[in-house]
Amino acid sequence: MRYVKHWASRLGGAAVAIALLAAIAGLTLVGSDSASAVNTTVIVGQTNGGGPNGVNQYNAASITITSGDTVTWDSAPDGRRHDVTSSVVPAGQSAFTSGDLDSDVPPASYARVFNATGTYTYYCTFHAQASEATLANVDANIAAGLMVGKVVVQAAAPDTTAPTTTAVAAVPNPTDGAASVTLTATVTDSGTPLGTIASAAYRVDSGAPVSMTAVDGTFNAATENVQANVPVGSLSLGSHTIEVRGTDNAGNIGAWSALTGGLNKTDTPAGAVQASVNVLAGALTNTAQNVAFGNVTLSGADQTIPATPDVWQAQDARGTGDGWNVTLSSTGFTGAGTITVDNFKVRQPQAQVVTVGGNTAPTSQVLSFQSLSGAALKLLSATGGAGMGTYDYTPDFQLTVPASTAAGAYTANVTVTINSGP
Amino acid sequence: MKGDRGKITSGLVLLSAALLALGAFSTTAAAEGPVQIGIQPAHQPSGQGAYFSYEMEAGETTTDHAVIINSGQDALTLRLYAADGITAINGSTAFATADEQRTGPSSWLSVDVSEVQVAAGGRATVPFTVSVPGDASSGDYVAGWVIEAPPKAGAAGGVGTTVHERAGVAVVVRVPGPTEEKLVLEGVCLNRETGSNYFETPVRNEGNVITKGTGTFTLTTADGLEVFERPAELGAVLPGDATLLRIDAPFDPDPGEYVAALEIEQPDGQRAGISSPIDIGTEKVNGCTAVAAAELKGERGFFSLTDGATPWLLLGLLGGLLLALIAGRALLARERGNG
Repeated sequence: MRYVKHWASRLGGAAVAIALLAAIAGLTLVGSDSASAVNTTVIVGQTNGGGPNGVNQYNAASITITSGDTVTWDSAPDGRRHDVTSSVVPAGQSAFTSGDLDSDVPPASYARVFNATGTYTYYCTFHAQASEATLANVDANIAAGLMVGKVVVQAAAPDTTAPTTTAVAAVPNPTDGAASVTLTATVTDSGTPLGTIASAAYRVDSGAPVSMTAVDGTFNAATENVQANVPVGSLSLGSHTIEVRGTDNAGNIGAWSALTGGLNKTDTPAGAVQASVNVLAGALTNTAQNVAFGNVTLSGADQTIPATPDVWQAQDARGTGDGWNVTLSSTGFTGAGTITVDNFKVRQPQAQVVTVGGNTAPTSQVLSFQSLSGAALKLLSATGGAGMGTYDYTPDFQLTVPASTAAGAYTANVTVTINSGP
Repeated sequence: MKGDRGKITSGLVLLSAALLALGAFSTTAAAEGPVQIGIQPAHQPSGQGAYFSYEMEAGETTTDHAVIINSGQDALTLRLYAADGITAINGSTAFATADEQRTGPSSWLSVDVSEVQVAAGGRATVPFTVSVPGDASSGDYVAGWVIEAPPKAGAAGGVGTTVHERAGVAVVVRVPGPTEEKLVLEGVCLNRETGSNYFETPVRNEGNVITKGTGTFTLTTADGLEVFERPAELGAVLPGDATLLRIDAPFDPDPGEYVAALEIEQPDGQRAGISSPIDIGTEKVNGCTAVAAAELKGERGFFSLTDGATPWLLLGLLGGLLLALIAGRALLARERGNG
């Protein structure tokens, strides 16, 4: 028994913990919605828990809210069916009804967001009439204890609060001969309802405002980090005022916020050195290796011999990104006799194209074995912008030696070209 | 752009200076280490770009400069020659070999040297001229400058290769006037030899400017069920030239009757298409041999005698015509005799 009570106690504690977590989560969720939206709860039914003398009513039958707020109707635990059905709504607004609300038969709750301003009246179809919730009599009937209600929706107060600007910084400052400085700042909106930052600008020495950009690329939050590249070449040596301001989506323009201490334009310090580099174009080159099939012993039947040469290498160091291709052609094998070139095949598996250094590797154009010929067979291709670097590649070769081939040494002339053109 | 004898003269002086500057290296026949050679515009005056490109009127001449680079560790004597532009299989510009006759726009190019010696890690600048014939019609003309390293022979004995390593840069001349892009596709065949499963379509550019295309290749059964679809990428096809477009098959189709369809869209939005029935048998053969042999001759045509091949088809047709004439005369004579 003690064991059971112990676990019951622990379960009870866990339930409380879960409830607390749920409550915190709920609060967090509410809090994560629009900072200005409010949720008002109305209890529906007999608040005394039911019984023959209970009164069917809405416990906060007349409320005033702000546009965008939510009203939630929760069923009282009275064991009865109720609902919330509109009687009067502002022009252009849709009627609404909750359907049955019963604490014993979910749903027991109904929520609605009121965006349009005006007066809404409603009633319970089980315990009142629509005619008892007109604009003319709803207040009197609420006072009389009928199950009718009223929601007055007021316009939200306009956002008249301008954003503020902080953390204005410029780099480098002093400029030390730089042609421009990077200007950054943080712009934050406030007030109710809370808006978002729509734009930001800077000005130098009270000159014309110049637009800045959001660091994250888009002005869409209540706080934005902003930046601009400010040219300073035309400024005179000495101190200058740089200011930043933001504008929110309600059109409120913030006050100028100045860079503390100003921008100090200075020449390059004596003895200072600058790092610079001039990148010179290299060449488009290709290195090919011979293909050796070695010794082939005639067997009285056609024989297909594989060969994989040492690694070939293509290198595009031109720095133009204009693309290139490698082509292959061959004669037949000659020696004691002839082995025609159509018996000589090549393929270039893409997996055997390895980037030593550079961007996108060239693509194989011959994934399955194809016969060589006097025509140029495109083996590799780098399209514009790709193939800038060094790439090892290893083609696979295959030679079919016909049964009728005369014994002896054979050689084919293979031409490998790296091409630059359209 | 006008011809300028003074520019040519100064270019030749520059070449001489460049070659003299390289006089310290020893004449080397072949590289000990890897060959790394390149040729590209010297940017005077062709501007920035990976290849030479000009717009020139018929009869016009210009001069320019190519820089030859030897990034390898051995001094090299490189062969330098003008080559006609050709279209590689699957498209893209490539260059004819040195032995192929100069009948195309490569004859528009001239340079005073046929070999250039370049020290290890060195460069040489070579001036050249481009002369457009007076009767050249409008359109694109593609040739190129090619450098070639000494042949690299394989190990003696056995079965092997001798590799000829080259680098080429295009010289593209646009003669102003009316232009047309016109790709023509001719039939589809299938190569099913062991290890080789690809569909092949002969492609011709009947227009007068460089064009290319992208599209889709589809294989369907005879009753219209799709077997597979593959993207088709056709690189540059030179005007008046022909090549082959090959599409790798993702698998070896079962024997049966199929329809292969290829549709290509040119950059100007024009489309070319072809649909061919393909009967796949049980025997795995190269069904493209005949097509490739016929179509790769390009402008030279099927009846060309320039490649040294025996024109058996032409001879057969002529023989048939002769026999028909003899039979006709005999028949006529017999009828006259009867009359």
